[in-house]
Amino acid sequence: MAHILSADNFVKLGEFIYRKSGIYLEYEKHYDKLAKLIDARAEALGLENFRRYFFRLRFEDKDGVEFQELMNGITVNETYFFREVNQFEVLANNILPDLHRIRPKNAPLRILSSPCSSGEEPYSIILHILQEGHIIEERDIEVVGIDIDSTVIEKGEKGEYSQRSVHAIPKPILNKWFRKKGLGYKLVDDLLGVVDFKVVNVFDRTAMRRLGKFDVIFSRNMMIYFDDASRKEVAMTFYDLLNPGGYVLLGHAEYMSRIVSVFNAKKIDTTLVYQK
Amino acid sequence: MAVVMVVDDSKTVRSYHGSILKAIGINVIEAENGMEALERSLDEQIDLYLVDVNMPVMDGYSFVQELRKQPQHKLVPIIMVTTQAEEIDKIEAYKVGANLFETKPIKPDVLNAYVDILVQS
Amino acid sequence: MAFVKKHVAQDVQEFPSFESLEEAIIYYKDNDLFEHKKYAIEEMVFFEGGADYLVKILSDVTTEKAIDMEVASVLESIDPEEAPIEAVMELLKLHNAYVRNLGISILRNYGEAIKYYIVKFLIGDDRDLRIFAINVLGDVNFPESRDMLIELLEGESDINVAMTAVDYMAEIGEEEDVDLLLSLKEHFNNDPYVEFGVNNAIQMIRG
Repeated sequence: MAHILSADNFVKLGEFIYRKSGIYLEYEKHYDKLAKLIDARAEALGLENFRRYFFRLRFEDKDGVEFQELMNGITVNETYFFREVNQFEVLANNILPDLHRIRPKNAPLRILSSPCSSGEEPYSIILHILQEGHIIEERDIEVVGIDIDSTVIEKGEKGEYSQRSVHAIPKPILNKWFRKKGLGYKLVDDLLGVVDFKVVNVFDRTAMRRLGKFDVIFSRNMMIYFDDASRKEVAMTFYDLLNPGGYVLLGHAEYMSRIVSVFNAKKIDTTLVYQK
Repeated sequence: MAVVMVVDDSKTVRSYHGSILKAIGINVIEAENGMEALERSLDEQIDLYLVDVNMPVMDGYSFVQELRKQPQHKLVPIIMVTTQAEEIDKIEAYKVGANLFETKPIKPDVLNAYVDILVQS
Repeated sequence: MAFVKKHVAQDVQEFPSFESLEEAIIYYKDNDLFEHKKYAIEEMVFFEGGADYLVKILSDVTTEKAIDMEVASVLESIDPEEAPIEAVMELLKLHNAYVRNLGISILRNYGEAIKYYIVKFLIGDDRDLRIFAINVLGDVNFPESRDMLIELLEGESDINVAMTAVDYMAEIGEEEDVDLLLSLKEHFNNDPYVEFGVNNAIQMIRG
């Protein structure tokens, strides 16, 4: 059965999604998934063709519920350790050594994870730094994790994770830094308390300022849920919080240039990063 | 599969040039200004560029100049496009590294001919 | 050396509160660092006349890009009912394309509040502003949008403007508009660009 989403409609819809969320969808990679999703959404809403669905999405979605449904179908929401591992590798093998060379001797290197969710991202950062091993010998490093949701912050502080959450961690690293607990795993005592978790709303300017300045900010798959103006606001807050030469890393399908043009886009190995 | 990047702030023009290219089996990447095009270029190996002269954030000339600094795009063919009414500064365009000019929108057979000559399939 | 957790709140500079717009402006001018200027910009908008001053910062072509971005960001977030629309509109008259575009990107956030201007632009001489107005119609979908696009198409001679309008007609047009769309093909000498846009639009309208 033919999908109601044609190739030309894919372009139109993709353009709309890109404008609203910053996620760039490519025909080759995403058509099938998106077409199935649109069929399902249109059916759920009782709409018989793409044009009706698109109109609904564009002009009759005042509280953004339908857009959110679409986004939930497009994005992989689950967080797990070492997700998009190339970014952590670039951090440990390129970015931190680079900053280590140029920052004053006694200055700590500070890394922000926003949103940190239940901690998989900041702990992944920690584990990669430990694996790299050299910089942590010579320099204080601080990892701060913020999220607006206090329940996930509590989870992060506890340091307990499911099998699913740790599935991408290489066995030697898992065995070294985690202990089995029930059906899941718990971080070793040495690592508990290492991440500075805080409940913070990124739109609260005062609270964000109080976090201090950072050298690297990870913000993966957060801005895609914001509107244009909010995205810009957060991007400028990140810019403000970064030390000169500091880096921002976004999710792999996100691009900074439609948000703001103040960062320099750079490619390190296969990873796109943004530098102040 | 060959990849062509269409850089233009008008989505109508992008989709028009894009559809001509897709019809002959080209993979098309779109960007709405020079900054975005540069960013996307870091991530991809592009075989041909169609670049609008007048764009917000970063115009066509500046984009071409910056693009030529990327090693993998030093030699890629670049066609600058402009509307009938606009003056294109050809000296400037050649100086920054563009190869050809066309007025937009480009006719399908003309664009197909360019792809034939310029893009290795 | 190790992983450390410092409570940095006390390391952070506390910013002053301003009693008036003048104080915020002085702070903005006296401080060079981005973080100070950013703070002043954010506070200015709460005072009467603050938004107008922010537009002035944008119209100064020597302003640093990061400051421009911050000002644009703040202006985009203002309640459209209270936005300095007239002042931002002035930016559109400047010759500097970069500043003009900043103005356009700010205005696009004001939707309903700039309807009156959209109507003016649609019938104006400036081709770029006609395109801008059509894009806003496409973003916001006023009840009058379809009528406005139809009226524009009936008299439009610029192919790029016309095709931008046709793109939106694909989404909000009706069967009774098909004749008008078809007439554009002849009007523009069967240019393949027009063929493409019109055929797509009709296909979308007919479902």
